[in-house]
This record gives sequence, C-alpha cells and structure tokens, in this order.
Amino acid sequence: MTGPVHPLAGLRCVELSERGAGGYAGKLLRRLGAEVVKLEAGEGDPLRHRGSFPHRADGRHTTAAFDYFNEGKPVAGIATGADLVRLCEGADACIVDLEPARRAALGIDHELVRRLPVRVVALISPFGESGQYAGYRGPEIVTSAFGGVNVAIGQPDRPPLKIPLMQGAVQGGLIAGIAVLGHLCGPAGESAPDRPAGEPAVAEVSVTDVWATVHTGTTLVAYLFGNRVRGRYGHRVLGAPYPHQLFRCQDGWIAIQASEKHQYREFLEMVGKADWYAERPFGSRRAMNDEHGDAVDAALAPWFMARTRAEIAAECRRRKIPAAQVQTVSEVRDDPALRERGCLETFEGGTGVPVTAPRPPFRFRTASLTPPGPVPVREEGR
Amino acid sequence: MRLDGVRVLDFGWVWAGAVPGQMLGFLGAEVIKVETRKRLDYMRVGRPIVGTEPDPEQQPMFHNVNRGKRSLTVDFRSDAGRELILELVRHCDVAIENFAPGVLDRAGLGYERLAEQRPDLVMLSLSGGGQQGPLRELRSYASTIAAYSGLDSLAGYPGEEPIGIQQAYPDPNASLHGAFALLAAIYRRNQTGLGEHIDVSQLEAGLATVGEAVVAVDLLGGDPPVVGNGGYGGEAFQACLRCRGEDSWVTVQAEGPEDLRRIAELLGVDPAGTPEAIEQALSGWCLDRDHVEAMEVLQAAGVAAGAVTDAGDRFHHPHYRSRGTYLETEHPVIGWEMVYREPWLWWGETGQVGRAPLMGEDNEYVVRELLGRSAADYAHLVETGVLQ
Repeated sequence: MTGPVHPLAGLRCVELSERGAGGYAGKLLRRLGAEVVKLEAGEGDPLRHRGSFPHRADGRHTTAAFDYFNEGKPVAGIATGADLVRLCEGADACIVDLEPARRAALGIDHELVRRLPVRVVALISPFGESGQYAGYRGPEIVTSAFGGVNVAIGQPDRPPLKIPLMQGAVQGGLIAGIAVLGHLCGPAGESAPDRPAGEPAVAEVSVTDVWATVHTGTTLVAYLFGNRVRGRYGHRVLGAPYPHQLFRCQDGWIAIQASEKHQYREFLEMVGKADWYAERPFGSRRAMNDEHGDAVDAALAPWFMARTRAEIAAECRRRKIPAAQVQTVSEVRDDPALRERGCLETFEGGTGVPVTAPRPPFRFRTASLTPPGPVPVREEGR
Repeated sequence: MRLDGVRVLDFGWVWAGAVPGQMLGFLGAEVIKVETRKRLDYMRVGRPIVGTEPDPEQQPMFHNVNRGKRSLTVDFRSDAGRELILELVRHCDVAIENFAPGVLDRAGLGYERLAEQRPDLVMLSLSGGGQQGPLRELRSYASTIAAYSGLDSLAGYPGEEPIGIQQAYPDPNASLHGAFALLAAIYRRNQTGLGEHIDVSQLEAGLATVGEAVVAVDLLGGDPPVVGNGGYGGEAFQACLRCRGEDSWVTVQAEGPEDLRRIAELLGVDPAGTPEAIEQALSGWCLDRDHVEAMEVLQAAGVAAGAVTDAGDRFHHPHYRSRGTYLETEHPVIGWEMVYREPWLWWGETGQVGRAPLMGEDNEYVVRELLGRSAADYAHLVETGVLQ
C-alpha cells in the first residue's frame, strides 16, 4: 500500500498565535504535512516586533523568535472573532494562544470558541480558563516562575533565573499539538456526552499547568515524602550524587554526570583520584556534592584546567562517562556532528536574510517532513 | 476516550521513555508497560515510603510518570519471553522504546522483527543521539543534552560564566516531541494503513528548544547575550525581585511605557521616571510583601508578575487546587499520594486516568485474555521465570 509522504497530509489547521506556543504547534503540524494558515489580528503578531532578538534590514523588521516559529506559513489578517469563525470553515483544528484580555478585545469568548466549525480547538493561555488567576498576564518569565522551573536555576543567595529563551512557548505548543492530534486520531464525529453534536472538542492548555505537571510535577514527591524542596546550587544540582555539574576547564565548561557506580569509578580514575573511591575523603557522594562541592572542585581544578573541553569529552567518551561540552549557540550551529546528521536547515528570514535553524527533530523511516519555507512578510504598519 | 482501541507496547523506561506512553494513555490508549525484574526501571528504585526494605512499588515518582498504564513483567531476552512479545505485538498498534540504539535489535525485537508481526505498527525509538549518524553512540543524560544543545550556555547571570539550567528539562522535552511524532504517524496510519518507525533523538529535541537563538546567530552576527532574567526583545525591564520571607521572589515584566505607568501609579512614584528608577522603586516595594501577594497586587494593576514557586507553594496554592492540577489518590501499597493530572483540560469532560501499575499486575490479563493462552501455559511461564 502506498500513501502520502507527509504524515499529516490532508489535515487543515488554523492558527491564531501571538505568544509563540500556537506558533510552535503550527510549525510542527505544517512541517509534518498539515496545511496551516496563520492568522494575524490587527497590527499583526506582536512577536514580529517584541519577540526575542529583533532585527531590522532593508526597511523590514522581524525577530529571531518570529522567524523560527513561523517559517513557511501562509498568513491572513483578521479583525474580529467573526473572521476567525469564517476562516475556520473547512479546517479540522484551530489553535489559539492569545492572552484572555487580547481575546476579549477581539470578541473571542468561550461562546465563540464553541461555535468554531472545526473538530478540535486548543486554547492556550498563561494560567488557564479557570481558577483565580485565569485572566492574568503571562510572559515567559512569569509562567516558568509560577510553574516551578526558575526556582532551581541560579545561585542559592541570588535571584532565581528564568529558563532561557521561549521554553513555555515550546512546551505549551507541544501539549496543544498533542491534544489536537490525539483528538483527530480518534473516531470522527466523537462527541462528549454533554457536548452538542457539531460543537468542537476544546482542549484548554495552561502554560503554567504544563510546567507544573509534566515538567515539575515530580518535584512534589520530594516535598511530600521527604519534606525537601528543590533549591538552587549554581552549576551543580543540589541533592545529586557527585559528580553532576559543570566543570571549568581550559577553554570553557564541560558537563559531566556520572550517576552510576561504574561511571563514578571511571571518573575518579580519569581525574587521577582513584583512591577517593575507597577512602572517601569528602564523605558520601551526596556530601561531596552538597557540602563540599567547592573543596572538591578546587582539588580537581588542576586536572580540568590543564585540558580542553574537547580533550575531556574524548576521554569521557573512551571511558563511557556521560559528558558534553557546554557549547555556545554558534558552536552548536557549526557543530560537525550535528551538521552531518542534518540537524540544521536554512530558510529565508523575515528580513530577507538567509537564516539557519534546527530542523524539527522527527525522522521517519518512510514518511518525510515538508521543507522549510520563507518567513511570511507583512508590510510595516499594517 | 479518543484513543480507545489503540494498544501500546511500551518498553519506555526512566523518565524520558515513560512520558510518551503516558501521553497516549492520557488520550485513552491502553498502554502495556513491559518491565523486567532483572533490571528495574530506575524510577522504581529508591528509598521506600513504608518500612525500610527496598520495594519497587513505593516510588511516587514512578507512579506519576506511569499513571494509567498496565504492567507486564517478562524476561524478553529469553526465547520464550521474546516469543511472547512477538505474539503480543500482533495485538498492538504502537511500540515505544528508549534503549540505547541496537539493544532491541540484539534482543530480536527490533522494528523489522516487530513489523513482521504487525506491518502497520507505529514505533518510536527515543535515544540520546539518534538511531543513525555520528552521535549514535552518544552516552547522555538530560544534563549533558542541555550542555551540548547550547541551552546551558545561555543560563547564567549577565556578564558572568554560564551555570546551566540544572534540571532534567531535556527529558520531558524529548518525550513530548516523541509523543507528537507518534500521533502524527498514527494519524497517517489511520488514513493509509501504513506503519512507521520514528527516530527522535534527545539531542535534536534539545536543539529545538534553542531555535530562535540559532537564528539569532545569523541576525546578530554572533552569539546571543546571556541576559539572566532580562528580556531579549526590548522590554522596558524584566526582573526577579526579592520579596518578604525566606527565598521569596517575584518575577515582573514591564513590556513598555504603559506597564511602567501602571507600576508607577501603584507605587505612587513619577510615571515619567526612567525604567531603572521605576524598577528600583518596585524592588523596595516588593520587600514589604511576600511573593504571592506581590504577584496578585501587580496583576490586579495589570502588570505581568509571577511568584517563583517551590513544590510546597504549588501543592498548596488555591489556583492549582481549584484546577485539579495535582490529584490526591490512594495507592494500594503506600496509601495516600499525589499525582499530577493531564497537562490539558477537555471542556465538559471529567474522565480520570487510573493509577500506575504494580509490577506484573497485568501479566494474567495479557497472557490469558489478550493472547488466549491456557492456564497451564500461563503457569508454565511463571514457573520458568519468563513471567516474573
């Protein structure tokens, strides 16, 4: 039997996105073969102007975030929620990630969402549609803080740090896409007992819930059963057996995590401290990490500072110790192994400049992704 | 449920491997977790909750990420165990595994072998560096993925050296990308009858999280800056400010002049002041209230603000309580426990997914009911240690 090359061929999706999450869901759906139309309300997607890494050239303006999340999508403008209903005609799914106040300004309320002529809607918002914070604003730094991510990043006596870039958009987009596809993989016409026929199924995706469940939900276990909360510990992980951290070396940093006993023995042999295994000069591996981290680091610093990241990574590979260089983003972009595996791709960015980005991380034996496309341009001031 | 009738053969283990099956289970699929007592899932190992003896049934972490699954304990490296799996896969639509590349092939259970039994099988192989290519042998944990992918290099205080994200974020990130791909392939199978083998590497999924930074290298002509809690997009200011109490912090974003005005009015300071002056005034204001109060007062004034929560904050917080984000349940071995709910809410639906399985809890169901084996056959498999 033969069939379409792209997994989602024939699926039609409308995306109304201003926070990145809907954009990432739409990007993945499009690259998997769905026909995705990006709608932009009023002045257009604010991510074009206020997202990560703005760029202006030849009278055109974009941001790196807008380029990454929206390459290849056709766009159409809308003025009101009625336009959204109209443009959903014939589509299977609709993904909306506008904040509640913004939705209200466009007349997109819950009643209108129930009238969208699609099988499934993903409604993404920072705090969800219910609960005391339902109307709250939620840029990335706010949702990752309230979702429990930031508390573990940074130095113990200094401010917790936001997880870099737009991870809430990526994770919110993934969950929205999973819900949408999950529904569309089910029997057509399925209707919940209390959902009138013809009304779409609506998956509500709160970005803070996404963080607080799949990502940080398990941290509640240590709190509830061990009375421990996860704290910040700089370049180490509090409560982990040593070593589980970044090490300073001659030309930067390297991450090493030797959790298993055999890995730890190899690690000690590698750094010339094999006798520590029996003698335990700093106590247990957890004490080495939590109580004596700085002293242990100081004792090993001469070994690390005499070697480069590449040398240490090669030695770790030889000894089967999980390790990786802390790469800068430009090093990632030029990494020969990532290039060889075809992890990067190039398309025309929003200012007409060719840009390189990671390829969606899906590889199929028989199916394939659609190619990347140019970032949709919208005239200035529209 | 949406995936009613979809059956999943789930070899996934630890965290990254457990979550794709969990997502399908949350959508209604029947997920059969394949386990062996010869090498316990690491999530089943740890200090017991009740008593002092090690007990694989006493790990709430496992209960969280395997909720709703069945458990089949089988020595699939034995001949009879392999045959049992090959028979079982004929009754399955999906397979999931996250062993090192080649492990299942060597056990005689690689994709080709499974697809011989079930040609329209959709299978996900999740690994550190992919099933093919130069990184196939990569030994990785989430921590090393965060380093290699560039994410760690961006986590730090401005002007200082990187400290990394120091959490296993790359694990569930890879899982969710895997679940996304699985559902796309199931969609295609439903349309065409075609099976599929999907290769998702944790490293590539990690790269997907730094996409805009990679694009920025071209746009900025170099590496993006380490901004700490600052913004990347020209915000008036963005910060994490100390509040009253131990390790109590609130994050605030002032996107532009309108937000600055709102903050200034709330504080009673000059709205024409510089962003730095207004941020400074806000820093002092926050010291007089705890992080949740600061968040609520700022949000009531229309300013984006979020308390930095720890596990205790989240468990007790009325917002999460009212949304049922954490479910309190009874486990047959440890009694009361908490599990997180599905990461979405379907309007008008209240379906609940069951608890995580005890080891081998569903052996009899699988062998007798699904495969139709006799009682004598079943007893023989138990006696010979094939079923454990």
